[in-house]
Amino acid sequence: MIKRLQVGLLRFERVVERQRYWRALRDTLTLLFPFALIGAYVSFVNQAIFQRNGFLNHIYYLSHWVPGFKELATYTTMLNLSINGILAIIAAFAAANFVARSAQRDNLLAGITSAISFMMLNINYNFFAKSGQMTGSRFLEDNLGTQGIFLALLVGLVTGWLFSHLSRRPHVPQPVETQAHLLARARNNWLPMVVALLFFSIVGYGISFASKAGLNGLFYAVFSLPFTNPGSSLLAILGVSSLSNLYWLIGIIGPVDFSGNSTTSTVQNLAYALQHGSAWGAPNSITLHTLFDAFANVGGPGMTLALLIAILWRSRNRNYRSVAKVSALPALFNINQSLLVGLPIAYSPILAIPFLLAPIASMIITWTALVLKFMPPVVYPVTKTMPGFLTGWLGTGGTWQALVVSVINLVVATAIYLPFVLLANRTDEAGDVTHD
Amino acid sequence: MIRRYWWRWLLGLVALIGISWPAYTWTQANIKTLKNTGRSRMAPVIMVPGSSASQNRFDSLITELGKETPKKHSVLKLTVQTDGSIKYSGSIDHNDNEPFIVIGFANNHDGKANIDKQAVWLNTAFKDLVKTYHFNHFYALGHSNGGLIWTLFLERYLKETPKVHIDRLMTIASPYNMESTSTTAKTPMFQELYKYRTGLPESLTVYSIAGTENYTSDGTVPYNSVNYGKYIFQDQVKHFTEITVTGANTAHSDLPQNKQIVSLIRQYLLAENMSDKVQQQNAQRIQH
Repeated sequence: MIKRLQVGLLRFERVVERQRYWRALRDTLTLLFPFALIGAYVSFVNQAIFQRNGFLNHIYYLSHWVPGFKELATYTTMLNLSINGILAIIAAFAAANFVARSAQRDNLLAGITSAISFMMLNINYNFFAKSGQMTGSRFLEDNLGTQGIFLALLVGLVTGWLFSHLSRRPHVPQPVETQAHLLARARNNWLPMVVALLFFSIVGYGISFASKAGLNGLFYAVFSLPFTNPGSSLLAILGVSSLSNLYWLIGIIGPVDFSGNSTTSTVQNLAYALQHGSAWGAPNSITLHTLFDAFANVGGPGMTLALLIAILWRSRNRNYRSVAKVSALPALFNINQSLLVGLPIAYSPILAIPFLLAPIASMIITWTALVLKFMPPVVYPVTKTMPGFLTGWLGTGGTWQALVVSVINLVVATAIYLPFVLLANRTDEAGDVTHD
Repeated sequence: MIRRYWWRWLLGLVALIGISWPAYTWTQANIKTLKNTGRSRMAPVIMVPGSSASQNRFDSLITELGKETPKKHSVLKLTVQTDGSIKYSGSIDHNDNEPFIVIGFANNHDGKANIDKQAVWLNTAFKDLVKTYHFNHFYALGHSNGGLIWTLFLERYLKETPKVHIDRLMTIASPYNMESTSTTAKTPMFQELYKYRTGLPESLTVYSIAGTENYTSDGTVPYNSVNYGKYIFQDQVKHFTEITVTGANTAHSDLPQNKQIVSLIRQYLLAENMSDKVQQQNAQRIQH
């Protein structure tokens, strides 16, 4: 039975792999990997070390004794904004590039057209506001970073499609470019270029009447609609967080990007705990924060630390091992973008299953422990970069039961990931055979 | 395997302890500081909408305020159910010292009996907020009947939370004499507000804004009824100022997002630093 399931999954993966657009997606993500990796280290340094509520800054009181802390903070924030802040533009370029190349069309022009189209979707129309001086910047910068990747991939695929169907003739790469050939490229591709640019600029302008934050803003408004308040019902919390993880899988990053310490129920818990001197008996023991943030986000969304452990422990897939090794440090502090695009987890039919299941298992275990009053809920402030397996322990003010639950969660999640990781051993071998 | 890589295991163990121990001591220290400081620096702006309006009534006002204010205010919304339980949505940012809190009521009907009840519900919500966020100063804004609910609350119920002080109250088109256009007839609502007026905090500053589409009303609330506020507040509070706004968008329901009123809110309720030009314009509108 299980064997048949495995074979089925593998076959499904292989069929999917053959789709041109799907391949382009996967290749784009893999191409993004080095940038995502650099970006992950930059966010780690910036968010965990040089932010005011960075975890390492907190525990080692770095801001008190590291010379030039403020300047380093500014510098790393700059790095963070510039590398992670424009990842989506690269994605738009690469996706169109791969699609056009698979159809033997002009991939370079397709990529550039797609990048420009993506920028046009993210023009800040407030900039044209009539009243008084120009306000804000010309682009909606927030949409150009990791949270714009889904839209960027979409733009890239559409542009690539336009190039594959509207280009006059196939593109033949030249060892040495001549001016004549470059001009011929322009002549062959003016139609898809104009169509793509016109299409996306009109869409962008049209959207601006409905949403000031552009298409991406509209996307986020719709996608984050279900996340307003799941309350204290386990099923609602499971649903909301699984939906959020599903978004992560397709590259929409962050609707429930750590719901944080500021919801009223969390503040009420904190107020109670400060008054009574203990986390036991806090009024809202089951919330998105106490289940998902604190116990199902170890190593980032999808319990990715468990995946990392599973890979480093048992995987023989060389690609997996090399990606996992270099991504380990940021993943310890819940920054997992490099694993998402490097393995990739995103758009992978095999890894998607445990990515969704592992957090659900963790939340159910945590919920059971809370309902049985084995441990108190997380009430004290925790930070986003706090190592996931310590969050429960520290967030309850140092209750050992919470640490035990965290460790159980991690073990169970690793067990859930393991079969899928082992399955990938076989895809690798099979893949090698077909390539040779 | 373990023997070969023993130094790796040792390194991992050292790193784990090197993180866990300081993390633990930091958490304990953090809890101690949280206990001592609380959140007393926070002074929220609490808004109560008028009858038939929900907790989303002030959304456009908040957007208008957000366009020009230098600070971003986070928004918390409450709906008090008829049984006194409270539904929360939105949140207050960790470092926001002047958040907006909107309190709506599941039963938001007009009429004296309902307004009396709504004042009690406002008290329930207010106590819950104080318990959660530990503020000891706040500002109040009421649109239409929301202003009456605030007045009633300040007269009768605020003393139940003695540690918390109100600095400024702004009411927008609040009909202190209900729908009456008369300058002499007194409605039961006004009589109640008048009877308890000595309970108003002495240090309070009140601004009452009236909108006028024509000489007598803003289309819904009679000017004379807004004007009745002076009998309640004068000689009871530190300052009482009446402001009349005319011109475009002065129909009763447009008032909260009216540009002139938005700038009045910014200058008088939020006490923001504004350009001299805007301040002069606002000053011209005031009838002392």
